[in-house]
Amino acid sequence: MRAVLVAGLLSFTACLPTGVVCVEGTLPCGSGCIDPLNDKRNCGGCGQSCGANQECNAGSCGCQQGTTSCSGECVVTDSDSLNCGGCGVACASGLVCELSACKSACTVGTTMRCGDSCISTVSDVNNCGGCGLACASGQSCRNSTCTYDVVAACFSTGQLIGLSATSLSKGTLTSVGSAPQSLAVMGQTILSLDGLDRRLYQATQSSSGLAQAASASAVGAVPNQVIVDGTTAYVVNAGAGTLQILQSGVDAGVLSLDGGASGLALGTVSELNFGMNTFPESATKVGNVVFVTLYGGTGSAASAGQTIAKVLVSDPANPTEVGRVDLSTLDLHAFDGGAPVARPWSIVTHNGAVYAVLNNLNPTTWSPEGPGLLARVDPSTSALTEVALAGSDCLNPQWAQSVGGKLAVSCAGKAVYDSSFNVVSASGAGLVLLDEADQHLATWSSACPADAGSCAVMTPGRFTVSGQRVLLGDQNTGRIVVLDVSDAGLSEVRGVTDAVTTCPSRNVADLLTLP
Amino acid sequence: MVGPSRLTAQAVVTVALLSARAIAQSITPLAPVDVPLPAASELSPESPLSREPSSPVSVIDLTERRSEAKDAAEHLTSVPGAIISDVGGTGQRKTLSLRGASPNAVLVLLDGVPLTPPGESMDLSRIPAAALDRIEVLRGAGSRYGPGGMGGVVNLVTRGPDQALHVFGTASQGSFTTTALDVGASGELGPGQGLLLLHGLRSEGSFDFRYDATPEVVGSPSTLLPRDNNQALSGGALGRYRWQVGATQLDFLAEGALEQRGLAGPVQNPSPDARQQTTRGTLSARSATRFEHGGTLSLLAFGRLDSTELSGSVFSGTYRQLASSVGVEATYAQLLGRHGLSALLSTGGDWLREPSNTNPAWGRLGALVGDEVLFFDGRLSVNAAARVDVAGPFVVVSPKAGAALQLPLDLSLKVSAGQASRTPSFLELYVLQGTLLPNPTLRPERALTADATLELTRERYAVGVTGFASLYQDLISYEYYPPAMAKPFNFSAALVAGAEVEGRVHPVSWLDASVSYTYLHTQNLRDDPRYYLKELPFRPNHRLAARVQAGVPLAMARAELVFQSAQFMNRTETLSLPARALLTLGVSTRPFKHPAITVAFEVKNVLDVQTQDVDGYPLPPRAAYLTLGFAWDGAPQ
Repeated sequence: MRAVLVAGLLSFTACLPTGVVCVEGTLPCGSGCIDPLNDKRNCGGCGQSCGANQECNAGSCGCQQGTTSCSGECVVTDSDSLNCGGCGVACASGLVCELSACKSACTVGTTMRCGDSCISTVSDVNNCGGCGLACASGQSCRNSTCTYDVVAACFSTGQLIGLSATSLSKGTLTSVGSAPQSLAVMGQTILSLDGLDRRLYQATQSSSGLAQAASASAVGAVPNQVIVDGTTAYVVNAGAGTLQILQSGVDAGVLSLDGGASGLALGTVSELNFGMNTFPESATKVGNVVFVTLYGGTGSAASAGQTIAKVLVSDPANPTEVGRVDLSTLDLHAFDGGAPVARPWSIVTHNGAVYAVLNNLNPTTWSPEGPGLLARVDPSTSALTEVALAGSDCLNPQWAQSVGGKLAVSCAGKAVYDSSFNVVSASGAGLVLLDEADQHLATWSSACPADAGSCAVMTPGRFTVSGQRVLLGDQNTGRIVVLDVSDAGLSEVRGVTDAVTTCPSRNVADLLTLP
Repeated sequence: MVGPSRLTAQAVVTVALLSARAIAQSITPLAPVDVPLPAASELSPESPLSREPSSPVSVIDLTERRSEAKDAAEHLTSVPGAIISDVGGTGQRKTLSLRGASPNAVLVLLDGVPLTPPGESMDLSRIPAAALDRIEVLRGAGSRYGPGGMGGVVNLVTRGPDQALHVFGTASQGSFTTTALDVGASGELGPGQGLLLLHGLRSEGSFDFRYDATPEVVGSPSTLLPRDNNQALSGGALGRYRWQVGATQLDFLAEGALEQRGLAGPVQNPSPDARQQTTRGTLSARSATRFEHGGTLSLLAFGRLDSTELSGSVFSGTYRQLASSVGVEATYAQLLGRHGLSALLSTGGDWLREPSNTNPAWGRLGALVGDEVLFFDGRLSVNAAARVDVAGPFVVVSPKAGAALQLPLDLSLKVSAGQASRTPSFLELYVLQGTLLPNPTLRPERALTADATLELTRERYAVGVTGFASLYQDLISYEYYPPAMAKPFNFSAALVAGAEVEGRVHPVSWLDASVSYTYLHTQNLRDDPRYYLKELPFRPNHRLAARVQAGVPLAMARAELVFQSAQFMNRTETLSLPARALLTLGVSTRPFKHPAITVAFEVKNVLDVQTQDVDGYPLPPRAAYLTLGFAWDGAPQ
């Protein structure tokens, strides 16, 4: 008996590991996880704050863009009276520094005196809207208000992160819900559609960064996209097969959460069901009609989709389906032996027409079996036109958006896995640019260059457009590639080898440009 | 019910000792058992009643429930700590969670033979109740069974052969075009006794359910829709043969079934052509030899085949897999003074053939040593055992210790603590399933469990209260794996604690009532901040099962209520299923005793509650069944 007891006791190993587990790329800190690469309050580790005029990049504090390091401090030589125009160049007592010169007073109309500095509080990130009002990392100061240019949704970690479209500096990862899938903005409020929680969360931003608001709305199963028009939000619930319409000022279905600033009362006014196995995925609004892609189910249930539903929403409380555009008759230019179906994934309004992205996948294996295509629909006549992208250089297209008068389309490609099911390559992946006449203008490939050394494989997904700049999210890793668009085509700002690490280790589900 | 409806704690302890020691000559025997028990010879070494003598065991006696239109899973709803997950419909998948452990961490045995490949959950709808005499449920870590029983162990005990000729059968017809038949005979055959049972089930399963097409609109109306492609068809047989050769009893079992069913899919996105066809068979041979010097040797050899074919366009054609196992287990128990020593050796192998041709296989080897010591003339027994198993690449150690104490005033106390584990399944380790990736680096899950049970047993009533706590570690969970897959990882830990109450009262001969209640507290102890300290999904905090039966055989009435509180459906506690109460009413009459003819009528879900266990899979509405049973006994009592 004694021997048995001793043997048994010995087999109980040490205490069970318990506690918060932080996803790859974040570290435990207090009761939560911090982003040591980007959080200037915890830069490189828990509690390691950056100093004034510094930001956190790759875990190290450095001088913000527009500042200069002088004796270990980051200063704005344009306006710092102790370093006016250069390190150590101090203005005499009573003088101010304006535009790198010592003056007796601020003379430029857009500046105001903050101490001995002349500052444009309309645009200065360290004095935004008033002296000493500093913006958070990654924010710009626009019209005296701190704001991010772009917000990214990190699905796998349940976080949002803001960034600057110009400097590409980033804010702090901020928990909003559990699995943000789609982003939109209503007024000053960011809407985050959550795939795991089945909620439409809200986030606000201030000079401290992003924060989840105390209001949310219940949505249907497997929500995939939210779009906003004025004070109305349209949520596409893929699993539930519905288009859900919510309006500000309506209480139905509004949830109050603990903590956070009060948000919008965004309640459900109606819901329209498209039928079983339709799997609506995306929507765009033209006039009073919302066009919704019906993707269809797996196998034989694919036939329930392959259409674009037209929903009249002039009375949001009573949406009415007024027709469907059948895509099944399109020539999908199947590859040899392929049998894809015309599944419309995302949809966008561009130059007055509606463009639906066709993945061209096999209905059961989900493998690309034809080139990525677009279906162009005339909103008034529903006339259907097929638009080619880039042949086999664009497989499994995902997302489309206007860039000026041009149309950009991302292509996830055909992934190849190794024996451990890691993606080792993706052919036909990148971004395609069509000109105003829907003709191919340029293709950017996300394939790793042959001489790149270690280079993580990218599978492009959703993207956003800021001016003439495309910020393209990666579904395979949490990075963003940045491309500039011009009449000449696409030029890399940050390519696949130096992409902006944004979401901790996992995919960027969506990107939103803030107004 | 306390212990089985017919077993008390005292009985459990007694039987365990008797079984383990083959009736001791050299120690003071315990007080005689005051309620009927299965004969000691019928308790195989695999029975938790004998193998886990200080752990709470519930026993459901099915011999008096032959006319109830239920499968094995439905009978298990009365067990404390049990949560059945039902996708809806007769013959459709039902799995069992015990004490908060996932269904794949509950070991299900058929007369001691594991019914699933390692680490997988058992679909209990595949076991017809007609083939069973009783169900023994060990609540808590099944350490002495090797890997697989972190939440508990269910031993399905098949009908045994009779000494005299016995012919029996039931026919049931009911809602959703459901027909169930079983017929069997048992009696002397050659030098031993044999039993043959044939059973069949057919159900169209096309019940109407209320469907809300626009659920996000408050107060939106629902419509009635039929549940299509929900049919089930099955047929099978059970054969047993028992033969006493000197001091050795031989027992052979052959059991198998063919099953087909539609896989309806979730209501919003049904799968009209998805089908599942399974073929299952188990063979076992057992011997039990009692030696004059007080030792008992039990040998068990078994083989099992389980073929599954999934077809339909959602499966890209046809998916076939074949799981098979063989095993041999030897158990020896020996009395040595006040010690009851036991040792177990087992070996075997598991194979899986599947379309991607990874075809995993591994060998198994297990060894257990245990001791049980009696003190104070047997009023206190202390036991301890340690088991080591090698299953493929894994080595797991499963110690457990416990004690049982007889107290004054008909009270008894049992305590136990142990460690159990679950090895990852072949599918989790090696097989790509659609968008679910395997992960060959997974480790076994582990559970540390402790419980204490206080029981009061009187002639007319019995009540037992159990407190328990389990720490689960290295739980395997599928996580998103970019760009569009999911992959299992070991990372979670959870605390599951609670209380179980069983009570039974039998004040007069014509009235019998039983109740079980479970309070279950679960908490995620290791996860990212979104899930940390949240409850585990699909674990209701409160569950109550009550049963009242009144009358005499000529006119009997029965009412059963199963209540469970609201439960979360996801790890972030944002989605939940509401509380529900399902009521079953039944009446029966047995106008003749020889032959025994029984006519029973039963209504399930009397209140016509619209509910579900799995998101998008409605449970059937109110349903009625008429059952005719007969039994002819060549040697009536």
